[in-house]
Amino acid sequence: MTGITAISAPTHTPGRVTTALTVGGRTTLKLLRTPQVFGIAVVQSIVFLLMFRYVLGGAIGVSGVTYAEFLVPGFVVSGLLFTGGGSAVAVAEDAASGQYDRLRSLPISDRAVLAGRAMADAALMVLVGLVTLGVGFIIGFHAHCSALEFVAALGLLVVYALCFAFVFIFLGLVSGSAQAAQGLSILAVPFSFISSAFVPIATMPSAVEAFAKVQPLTFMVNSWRGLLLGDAVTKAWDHSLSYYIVGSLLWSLVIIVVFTPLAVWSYRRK
Amino acid sequence: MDSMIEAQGLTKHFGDVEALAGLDLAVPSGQVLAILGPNGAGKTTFIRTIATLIQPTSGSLKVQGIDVVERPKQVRRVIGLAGQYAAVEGAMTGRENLRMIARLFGHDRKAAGRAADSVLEQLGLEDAGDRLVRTYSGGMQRRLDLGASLVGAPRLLLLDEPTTGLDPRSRNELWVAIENLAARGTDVLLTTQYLDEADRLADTIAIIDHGKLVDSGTSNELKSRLGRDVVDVKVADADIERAAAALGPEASIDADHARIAVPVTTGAEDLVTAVQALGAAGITVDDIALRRPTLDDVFLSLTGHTTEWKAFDESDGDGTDGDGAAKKRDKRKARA
Repeated sequence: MTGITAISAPTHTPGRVTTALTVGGRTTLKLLRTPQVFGIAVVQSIVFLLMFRYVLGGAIGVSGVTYAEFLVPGFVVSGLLFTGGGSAVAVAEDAASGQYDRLRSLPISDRAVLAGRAMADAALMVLVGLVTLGVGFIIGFHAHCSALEFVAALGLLVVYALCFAFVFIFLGLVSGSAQAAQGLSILAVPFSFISSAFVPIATMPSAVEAFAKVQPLTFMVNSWRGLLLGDAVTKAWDHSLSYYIVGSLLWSLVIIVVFTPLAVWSYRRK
Repeated sequence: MDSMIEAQGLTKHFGDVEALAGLDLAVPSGQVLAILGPNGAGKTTFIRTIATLIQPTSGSLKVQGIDVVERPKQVRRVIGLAGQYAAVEGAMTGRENLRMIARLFGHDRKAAGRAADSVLEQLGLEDAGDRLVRTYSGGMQRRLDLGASLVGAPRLLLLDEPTTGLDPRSRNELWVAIENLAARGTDVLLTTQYLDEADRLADTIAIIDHGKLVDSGTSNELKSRLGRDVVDVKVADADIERAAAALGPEASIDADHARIAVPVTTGAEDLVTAVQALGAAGITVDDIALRRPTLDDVFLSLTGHTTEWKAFDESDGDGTDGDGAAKKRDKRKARA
């Protein structure tokens, strides 16, 4: 064994940024090398978009805009949750395969590990959302906004995706197995249906409407809708667009403040 | 001398389950320590506590002199962990895996590349280094996983059942890799349920059962502490319980329900006594022999049950020469 150069021990522990970028890079590389993951997420998203648009759309009445215009922003934002479900499954798989045991035995920050993972997951969610938006334009969506409003909408989408990434990392870690994580992710269905994502909430029974009115997804969807469609939708609202944007950011803050420590705790717990 | 680990009254409870029940063990640096015990003995809990993955319920534990509860981050700087599964990323190449972990150990980009190259060479994976890990065989993945724990040049390498589930050839390759590491001065702590593995690799063997230390020492110390020869009896399956009863209270039946072992004191005379006892009971003896105790006997006499070493018994010849061959040489056969 004489030809082998001895490895010298590292003199520093890695910084948080290096850690986050390394872990995020790994997740991203894995996604790039397994294009099925992105492909399936996109196909799923498009199939459901088409079903809503062409199967259910005719029976859903909205005011001020066409149903395609109403639907697409709601679909892109709530789609974050469906793509995120896949991340929860991937996290559960990594945990089961011992990869997190290795990471937890290294001299690195837990928060940085999870932040890296969350960034990569959020990037995937946003990417799937953008592809869905592209398909939305084909099926009759028209944006009525300035470039600045469009950029603002994109920025918000990134923020929402990051928040949800931490939720799904937490779900993936506590679920204990990929199947359980899958099961938990199904909760995204009722959560997104009981919001303004697919239908106007005024048509819901009052108790359901009361929940839909205050839950985060409604704030996020309305922010996107208002930014992309402008007056055509906002003029019928009880509240201003900024009410929803500020509300969505407050909700994002709450989600981050609650779920980041939960994710860190569940990562360190086992 | 510096200490590798020092555990005092270490306990870990998972709800009602007491995985560690007051473990005391102090072992100096500069050697290979094998934690030997059956499934559920607390081996994995112990190694996970050392690796700072779980916190002990009570007691104290120092790793390379560093307290795991008070300074876990400090501990993480000096250890490298390879768990029971190959925790490597299939969608990355072997080299990419090693570089990533090297970066997370704190190497800069250049040093990480060098560490990855060095480990690939050390483990005989240079040719496979640029292939995706999902194309590796199980044995190669485990070797790469071992490599991933090495890129940070840890002072203490922790291996949790490193060869469980490997075929004999892969197991032997991993053993050679571990021996080379130890020869170059890395402390190694491994858990195993295989006596031959402990016998071959370890300088010190610590036997644990039910979360407690049962005994520790070198392989020879443990064998000589038991000290006594063993009469080894094979009878027809149907007679085995009756035969054990006839051979007295110290007789024990092995895990496969195939053989009976009786520790004896005077050697040949006891062999004759055993033959006579079986004859008096009207039992036909297939095979009977007097032999030196093996680690299996040590384990049996200390814990009251055997380990699961049968799985590797067939491969005994291909590299486990130490005890396997000696055991065969020592076997003094006597036909009844």
